[in-house]
Amino acid sequence: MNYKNTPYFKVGRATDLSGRDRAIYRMLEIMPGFLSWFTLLLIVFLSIFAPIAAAYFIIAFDVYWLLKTIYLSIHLRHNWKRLKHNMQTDWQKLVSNLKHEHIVHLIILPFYNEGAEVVESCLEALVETTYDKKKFAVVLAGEERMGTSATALSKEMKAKYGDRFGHFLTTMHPKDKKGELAGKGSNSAYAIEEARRLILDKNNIPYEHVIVSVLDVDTVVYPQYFLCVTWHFLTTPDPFKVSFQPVPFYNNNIWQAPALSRVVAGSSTFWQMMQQERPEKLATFSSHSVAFKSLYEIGYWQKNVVSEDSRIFWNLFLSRNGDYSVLPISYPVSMDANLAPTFWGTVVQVYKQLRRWTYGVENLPYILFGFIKNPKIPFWTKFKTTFVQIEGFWSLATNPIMIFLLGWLPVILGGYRFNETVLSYNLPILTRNIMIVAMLGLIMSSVIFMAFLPVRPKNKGRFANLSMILQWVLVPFTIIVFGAIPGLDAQTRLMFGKYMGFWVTPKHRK
Amino acid sequence: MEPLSKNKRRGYLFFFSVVFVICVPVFILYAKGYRFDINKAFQISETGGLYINTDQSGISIYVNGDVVRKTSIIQKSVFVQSLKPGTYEVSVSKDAFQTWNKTLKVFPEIVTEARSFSLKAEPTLNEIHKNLTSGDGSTTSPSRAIVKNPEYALINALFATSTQKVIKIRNVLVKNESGLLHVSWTGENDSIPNYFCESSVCKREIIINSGADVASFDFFPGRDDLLIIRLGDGIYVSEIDDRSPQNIQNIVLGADYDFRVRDGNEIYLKKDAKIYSVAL
Repeated sequence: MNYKNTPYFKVGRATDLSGRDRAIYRMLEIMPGFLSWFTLLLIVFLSIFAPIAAAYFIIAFDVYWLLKTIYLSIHLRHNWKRLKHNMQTDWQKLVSNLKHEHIVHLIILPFYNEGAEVVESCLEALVETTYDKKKFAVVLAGEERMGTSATALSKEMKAKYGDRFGHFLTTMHPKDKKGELAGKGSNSAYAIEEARRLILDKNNIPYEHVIVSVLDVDTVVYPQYFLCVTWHFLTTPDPFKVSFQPVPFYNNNIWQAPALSRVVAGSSTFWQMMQQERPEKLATFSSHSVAFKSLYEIGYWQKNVVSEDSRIFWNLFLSRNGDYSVLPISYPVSMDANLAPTFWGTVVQVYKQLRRWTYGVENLPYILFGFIKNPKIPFWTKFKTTFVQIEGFWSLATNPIMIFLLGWLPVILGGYRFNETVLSYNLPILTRNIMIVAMLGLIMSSVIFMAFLPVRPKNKGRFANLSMILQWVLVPFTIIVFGAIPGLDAQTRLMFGKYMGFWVTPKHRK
Repeated sequence: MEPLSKNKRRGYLFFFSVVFVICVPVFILYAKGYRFDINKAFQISETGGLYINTDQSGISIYVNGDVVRKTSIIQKSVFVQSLKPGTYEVSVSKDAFQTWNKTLKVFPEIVTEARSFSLKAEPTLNEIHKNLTSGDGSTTSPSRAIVKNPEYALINALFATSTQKVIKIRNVLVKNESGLLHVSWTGENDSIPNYFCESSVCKREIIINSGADVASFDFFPGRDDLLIIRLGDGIYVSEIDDRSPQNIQNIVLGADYDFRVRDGNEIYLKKDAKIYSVAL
C-alpha cells in the first residue's frame, strides 16, 4: 500500500494515533527537546564534576564552530554569485526556446488579517511580472473567521484585479472545521480544492500542466519569478519529483524595520542561501512552487499542523518513498521583515515568528515515524535524512548557547583545582579568539546584505546605510535570543505535549 | 550557473574534517600549556604560568627583571604563560610606592597565583583635629568660637577599646600567641586561598614572620590576605602569603603609634593625643 493511503500519512501529533503507534510517536516528539536539554545540562554537569573533560569538549566544539562557519560561508558566497547571475538572466529568452504555452500558474494567496495595502502590493507585483497573465489563475484565499472584513477585502481586490489575470478566484475558508488547525495549511488546502473544481476542471486544464505557487500574502515576486520557475519545471528531468524553492528576501519594509528585526531577517535569508547549495538538507519554506499534480495526489496540505510549508515536502517525500527533493532555484521573492508599531512590539513579534518557524521540529517525529512505517524507503536515505534533521534541530537550539555562554562555564563551576590550571586560564581566551575569527564572516554578511538592499527611501538619511552595516554586531545576541531560545522553547513545548497553534505574523508597514 | 558541485562540497568537507582532526589536539595541548621547544629540536615541553593581581593601576610588573605589563584602570593583573617549570623572581613597583617582590615556583600545566600590594613610600597622614572653629567664616570675627570635633571624639572612643587576640574574616582565622601571629584556614578545602597552597599541596597554618612581637593587629581594609600589625617601631602591613619573601611594608615608622580600622574600610593612627586618617 502506498504510504499516502495509510492512516499515518496526515498525522499531526501523537494524540491523533492510538496504542503502540501513539507511544512511539510521543517518544519521537520528546526526543528533540530531550536531546537539546540533555546536551546543555551535560555541559553544566561536566563543568562541575569533570571540568577538564568539559574544557576539552568546548575547545573541540569551538574549532567545529569555526570550521562550520567557514564551510557555510563558502556556500553562501557561491549562492550569492548564483543569485546575482539568476537575477540578471533573461529567463524569457530561455523559456521561449521551450514549449511552455501549456503551462498554467495557479497562485494561492492565503490571507488572514493583513491590510489592503499588503494584499494589493502582492497582487500588483503579480501584474508587473514578465509573463502572460492569461496563464495566471490567482486565488485570494480568506478566512471566514475574520468576518466581513475579509469578505470586503476579497470583493475589493476582485473588482480591482479580477480582469488582470486569466482567472481570479476568491475563497473563504469555513471556520471551526472539525480536525483542522486554524492556519495557513487548512486555508490553502481548502482554496486549492476550490480552484481545482472551479478553474482547472471547469476549463479542462490538465493537472500536469499546472504549477502551484503558494505565496504568503506579503510576498512581492521579482519580475521574472514565474519564468524562472517555468524554465526549471520544464527542464528538470521529472518536475513531479521536486518542489521549487526561491530565496526569501525581506526587503519590502527593510528600511523601516529596526536593526534587530533586520538582522534576524537577513540571517534567515543567508541560511536559506546556504541551504540552496546543500539541497539534500533543504525542505520547502514559506513561499514556494510545486506541481499541482504532486499536490493533488496526496490531498494537498495537512490541515492539522503549524509548519505546513515544510510538512508538504515531507508528505511528498514519504509518499514517494524518499524519491522527492527540493530544487533550489536561487531566485528571490521579497517579503516583509517583522515590524510592529512599537519597538517592543517588534521584538515580541520576531520572537513569536521564530518560535513558529522553529516549531518545524514537529516534522521530525513525523519523518521518523514515517521511516518506521514505510519500509520502501531505502535504508541509506533514512539514515542520512535522520542525521541531517536531528543535527539541524539540535544545533539550532544548542550551538549558539554553547558557543557564546557555556565556554566560560568550567571556569565558573570547575572549582579551585581546575581554576589553577593553565587550561582554565586559556579556555576563555581561546573561546573568545575563535569567536572573533568566526565573527569576521559577518563582514561578508554585511556586504551581501547591502548588495540586495532596495534603494534607500528619500526620508532615510545616510546614517541608515551605516546602520545596515553596523547592525551585524548584534548577531551574537540575535542568534541566542531569536535563534536558540525560541528553538528550545518550541522543542520544549513539543516535548511536554503543549502543542502550538498557528500564530499569524501581523504585517505592518510604516 | 550551476550550484556547488557535490565533488567540490565533498572536497571542502574532507579538507575541513582533516583540519578539525589536526587542530583539536593541537589546541587542547596548547591550552593545557604544552609548547614546542625550539632549543630541544622542536620537542614538545610542558609549561606553566603566573597570574599576578595588583589591584592598582600604573604599576609595572616584572618577571625575572623583564617588564611583562604596566597595569591600567581596566587591566590590573597579568597572566604570563609558556613559562618553563622553575623558580621566577616577580617584582611589582611604581614610583613613590613600596616595591613588592616574590619568588614563585612555576609547575607544569599549573598557574601560580599571587596578589601583590604596594603602599605609598610615605603614606599621607591627615590629622583629625580635636577642636573645630565655628562662626561666620571671617577670621577676624569676634563671633568665632571653639567647638569639639565629633569625628575626633568618635575615633578617640575607638582607640579606647582594647584590641582582640583572635579575629576571623571569611574563614581566615588569625591568632596572636605571645606576639606571634598564627593564620589558619577554617573553611572547606575546596575554597582554600591560593597562598596556603603550592601546586596541589596545601598547608593549614601560616605564621607571620614580622621579626618582632606583634602588639596588635587587624585585617587591612578590603583584603583578607593582608594584616596591619603594630610592632615596637611602627605600624606595618604584612601579607599572609609566606612564599619567600613575606612582604612587609610600613605605614608609619616610630614608637608609640597605635592604629584602628573603622568599619573595615578606614585606617586611623594615634600618637599621644593626635589622631590621623591614613591615605594609602
